[in-house]
Amino acid sequence: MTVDDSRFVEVYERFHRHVYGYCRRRTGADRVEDAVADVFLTVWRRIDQVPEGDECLPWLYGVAFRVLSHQWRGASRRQRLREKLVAVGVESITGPEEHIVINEEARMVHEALARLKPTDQEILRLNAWEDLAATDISLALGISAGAVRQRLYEARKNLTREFNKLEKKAGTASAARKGGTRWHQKNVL
Amino acid sequence: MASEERVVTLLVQSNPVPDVESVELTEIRANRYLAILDQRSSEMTDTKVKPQSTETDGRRRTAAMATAAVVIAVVGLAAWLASNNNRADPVAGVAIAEEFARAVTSGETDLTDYVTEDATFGPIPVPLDGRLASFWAGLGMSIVVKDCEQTAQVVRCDYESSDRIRQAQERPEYGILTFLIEGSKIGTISRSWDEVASQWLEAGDPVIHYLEWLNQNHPGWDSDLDWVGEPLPIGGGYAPLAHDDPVRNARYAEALTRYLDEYAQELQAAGGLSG
Repeated sequence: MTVDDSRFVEVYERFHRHVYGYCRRRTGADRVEDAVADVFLTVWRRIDQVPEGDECLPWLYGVAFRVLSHQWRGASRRQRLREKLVAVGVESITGPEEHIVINEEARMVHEALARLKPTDQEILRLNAWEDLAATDISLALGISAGAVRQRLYEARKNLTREFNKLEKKAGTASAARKGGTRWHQKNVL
Repeated sequence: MASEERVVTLLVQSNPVPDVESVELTEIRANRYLAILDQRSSEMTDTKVKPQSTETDGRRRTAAMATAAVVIAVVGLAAWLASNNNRADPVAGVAIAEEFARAVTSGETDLTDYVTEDATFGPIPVPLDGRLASFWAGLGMSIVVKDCEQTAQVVRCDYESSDRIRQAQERPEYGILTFLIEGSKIGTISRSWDEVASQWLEAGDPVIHYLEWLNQNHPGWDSDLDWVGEPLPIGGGYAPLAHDDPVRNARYAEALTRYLDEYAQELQAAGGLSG
């Protein structure tokens, strides 16, 4: 085994699980393994550029983000395929949302998140889910740590604003439903 | 109204995979990676791939990368087809792709044959999903795909051809479509792009707009693409299109499709399309 091979094996064995988890948090179960494979193919191709030490994982997250970005750009094509598959009786593919449908608040926070700019979404996810500090996020996304801090600050505020909008809307809808029900019951009585 | 702290806490709690240790990895896949590495190590000692120069070293590395890409792609392809219960007659495609991968990994087929000048191979049907780009990127090639839905068939690829876009063909038996393939070595993408772009610039305003956008917003886009193994910034979902602007994306896609149609017709008229 060459030095490059040993290095690849080391990176793979140490971080495969992290990369898998990262991808699983962001894409459907059916696409996770493809994404992980693409990440490590990039590692393989660029093994001499993979950072050592603590910088390695943020670097891998950055690669994974780019790989998933390409997946997302292809989403419309996959959506068309999915519609075709549904049309011929094949069940739709499940996504990460399967994990959160049981929790309305979690669903809303994801919906609020989806309303933010893609990079801001990723900054929030890296911070909340991968537990990365601004310095590591900056390594992953290739922007300065100062910019990350600023964007994280703004993104949290925007997330809260969007969440509250959704919550208000849901509350209004819920009240309307309840009102409708009472009206109906009253008329039935 | 929820406080910021509450919302951030909700976000943390909504983590779909809170504990990476709980992730059930597919060990077969991990082993496969290592097997690929072992295979590559064996190939390095094989007389078939002898290092003779820096250039040859580059080819060897490209070939080894391609080996990994092919195997990974085939695995992904099979999984994709299985998970989607694809009705587009994938069997023949999988068989061919698997045979190709087997030949490559066993050493019967030397990928250096394919990454040097004017090699021809195929047909190799591949799914037009996320797999495609890394599949061909691993082979050191770029691909232009026109409005393909599920399966494309690579008919021929002239690597390092001077006119870059050489082949286009309709294969109705696969339910497809015309597509063009451009051969290019990893690392020389921008040169290749310049040639292609110069042709596209004649194709109409939307393309020019796209190029302008690309140059303004992604001045280093070619290296970005290479970074993720996506050598050519066009085609279906693989392009770094103006993704913040879906209207412009649509215009570009439409223009590109129209252009490729015209280009294919030109090739056909000139007798450039093969069987």
